[in-house]
Amino acid sequence: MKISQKLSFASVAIATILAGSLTPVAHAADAFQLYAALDYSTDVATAFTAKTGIAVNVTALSTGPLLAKITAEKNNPQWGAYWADGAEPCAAFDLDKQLLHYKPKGAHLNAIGAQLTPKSHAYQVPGFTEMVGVVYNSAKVRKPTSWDDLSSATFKNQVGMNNPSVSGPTFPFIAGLIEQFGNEDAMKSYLTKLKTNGLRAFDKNSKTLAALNTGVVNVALVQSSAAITEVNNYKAKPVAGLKPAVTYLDKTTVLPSCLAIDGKASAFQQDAAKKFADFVMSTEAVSIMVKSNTGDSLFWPTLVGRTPAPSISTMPALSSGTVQIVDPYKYALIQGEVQDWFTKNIA
Amino acid sequence: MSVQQKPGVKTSRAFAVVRSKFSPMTAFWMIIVSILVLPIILFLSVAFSPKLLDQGPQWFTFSSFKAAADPYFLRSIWHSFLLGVISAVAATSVALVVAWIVLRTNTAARKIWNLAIFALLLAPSYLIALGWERIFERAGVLNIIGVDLPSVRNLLYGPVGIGMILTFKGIPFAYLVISNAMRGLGEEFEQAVRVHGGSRVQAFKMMATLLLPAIWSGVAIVFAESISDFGVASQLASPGRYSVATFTLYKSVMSIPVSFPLCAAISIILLALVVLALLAQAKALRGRSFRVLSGRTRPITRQRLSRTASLGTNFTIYGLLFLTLGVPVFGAISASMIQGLGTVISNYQFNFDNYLRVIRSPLLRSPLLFSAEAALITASVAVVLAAVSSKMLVSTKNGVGKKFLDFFLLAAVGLPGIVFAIGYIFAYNLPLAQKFGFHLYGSVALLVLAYIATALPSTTRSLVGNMNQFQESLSEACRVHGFNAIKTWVAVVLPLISRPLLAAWCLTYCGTLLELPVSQILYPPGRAPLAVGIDHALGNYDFGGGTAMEVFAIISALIVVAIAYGLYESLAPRGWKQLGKARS
Repeated sequence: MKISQKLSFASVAIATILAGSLTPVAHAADAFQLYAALDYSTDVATAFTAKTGIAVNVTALSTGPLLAKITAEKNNPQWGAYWADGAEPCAAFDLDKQLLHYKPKGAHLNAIGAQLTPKSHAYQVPGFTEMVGVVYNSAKVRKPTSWDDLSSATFKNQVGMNNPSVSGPTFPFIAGLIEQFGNEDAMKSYLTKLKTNGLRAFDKNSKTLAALNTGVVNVALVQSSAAITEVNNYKAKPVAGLKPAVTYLDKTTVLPSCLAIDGKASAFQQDAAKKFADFVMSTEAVSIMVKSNTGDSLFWPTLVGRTPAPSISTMPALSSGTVQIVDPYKYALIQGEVQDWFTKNIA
Repeated sequence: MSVQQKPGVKTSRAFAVVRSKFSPMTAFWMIIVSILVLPIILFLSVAFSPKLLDQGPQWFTFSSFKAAADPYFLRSIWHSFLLGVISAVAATSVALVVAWIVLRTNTAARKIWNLAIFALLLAPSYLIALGWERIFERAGVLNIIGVDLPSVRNLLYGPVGIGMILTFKGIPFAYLVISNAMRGLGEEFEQAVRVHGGSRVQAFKMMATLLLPAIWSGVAIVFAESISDFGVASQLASPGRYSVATFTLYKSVMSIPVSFPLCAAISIILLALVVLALLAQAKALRGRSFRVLSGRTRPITRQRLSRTASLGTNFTIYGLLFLTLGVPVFGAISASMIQGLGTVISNYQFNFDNYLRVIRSPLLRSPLLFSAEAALITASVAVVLAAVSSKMLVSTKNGVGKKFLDFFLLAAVGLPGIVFAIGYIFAYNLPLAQKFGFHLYGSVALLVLAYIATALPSTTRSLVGNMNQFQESLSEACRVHGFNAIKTWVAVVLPLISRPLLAAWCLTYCGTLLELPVSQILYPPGRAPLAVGIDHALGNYDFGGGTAMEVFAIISALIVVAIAYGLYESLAPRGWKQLGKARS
């Protein structure tokens, strides 16, 4: 047969690859599987391994691909724990009875931490950021003062935001708008007004900030950690014509970073995940998380006595009336519908 | 009296039975089903039966099709179809003319084109889009020099701009396919037209007709690549609010909560478009023979161009290179070397900081090496499989197997990578498979298999044109003279398709090195491929660093391509290099 030789080559190559795969992989059996969307997760995992001897496989991706993976694995979950910003996906997992409820040992939460953590302990909240930080190029536009101001003629064709269908942390911002405007229709009406005023939607924080850096927009509505990083970057390396500054409008919404344990995982995974949760909710881990002083590290810890990274301001107080907490279990139920509306009407 | 068999005899008989049933073609189909058919079928089945893979409560339903029939989704699918057709026809037409200029004339620009083609192939579509954006966007280059063209900007963020960039991205694919086939086409056919009084245009038409299988392959590849492209969709279609199917699908996959049944329903509609492309191809080629590659194929004599024609062809090639390569290079430079472009009038900073930072960082080195190794294996295996597949596709037997292979090869390229990757999770994370010890999910092996499956359609199509030209009488003559199958293949087939095989290998290597969607979903923990590293850098607001990594990757791939061609030129027997060689 003329093609037999070619087939033999191909068969040998494929067989080699398959054989390689059959050798025991350091996968579900002997390493804790952490799916994480936070910059510092690998450093925390390394410290955890050093302390406990438990090997950790970190799958580091942004929230969207991680959740797609978890959903695709639903009939045979491979993750031990999931760690990312935003409580709504965890609430949705919990409503679907996918999570193992666990209360970490020795974690003393501050007031916001206690409010952010569900009573059932379906997931842990080691810290939080805010949605949204409003970054504006002060060399080009004045400081926006309110949501109404942002939709005025002054900011026509100047504003950009993330698409909540692609950016994990952006849905809580939309939920926050619903909360403070009173209902879903008011939120839709406001975003439509912004759209009429030239609002542009980009994929996620990085794309929205890239638009700000290149002058496509002069106001970017992004996660507070991204906003502060942007300002710090340009303080360190100034560029003429670009002076980013951050402000917060009316009320901002607290965006918790959440660690959830897979309720269907093996006993080994669950045991390792519990130990990991204990570690994450310790002062030792928080020190590692804030160490880089940039990007995701710019959050407020929920542990009593822990201070944030040096670049970040003092803890926002709920009593000030400028921050709000939304119920993720309520908003998880309408997330798909609201994102669908955003995609079809705003993005 | 019973006769007892020796145990050895029994074993050897059993082995003989297995061997007789397990032909190389069985192995081939097993591979195709495992890496291509199973993941696609399982993913698509979720549209009808979400419960099958725990993606919903129903065992059988059409409800996801109702959701997919939403005007927004249908509009995006229609847009994709239109863009696919326009870019496929435009890219193939340009490629045909360029191939003729480069291979059949003595134009001086031909040398630079041959060097540039792989750079063009490597340029990610988002980088091409970025370059154009940087020129026309608000506060872009034209704005900085005082030119404001809002109407052109609006065109760029709409079907015109997207179609143009998809056409640019499609040209190298179509060119590689058509140029390989043109090399196998001697000039005797054109001479025959001229001898009988035909004009140059008629001779060109004759040549184009003989190249139809390659041209259709080019159209099919560019169409499928265009409707599954994500880079342009993300860069231009999304901000321009021009919905296309890939971005709609991507958003559906990335939405929270994810609805895979809906994604599968949209994918099925997208595949219907692929079937249309296949039907058109089949109708155009039915009942015709294009077997022109024989022992009597004559070397080509390059046409000596007049001064005006020479100027015209040079202008065409350089102009095309400026549009297709110059603009993305500008995009890469602006993103990686210039700080603050678009925010300043005259005081921008131009430096190599990002490159120096990336060179010093281990974040580039290990992903680059890992991806290079994976691309090397992928290209080598895919080329072998593609040789077999393309041979089957051009077979005169019009069996079910051929149609089946044809459909799945085009389906794999027509479906966006992210969908394909999810299909791999469905197929290889089955509890049953893991009970039997198949721990493929989460391994390097599965990632490489997915790369092979993703590359196979384009690699196969790139060889179809050449396989179609091959006359069976060559092999038959060899067999008559006592050569066995292997010797025949090495002595006759390999020399004639060695250069196209090399081009296909390079095409696959380059395509795999920067592959993102499959890498993102299937990479083994701790072994991030290059594209994931770049995406991570871009996601962490390191736009300059991420683009610098991309530029390094492109340069490394060009070096590999240069080495591959260098080795071919120095090690391949002289006879192998004769095909398609032209006399000046």
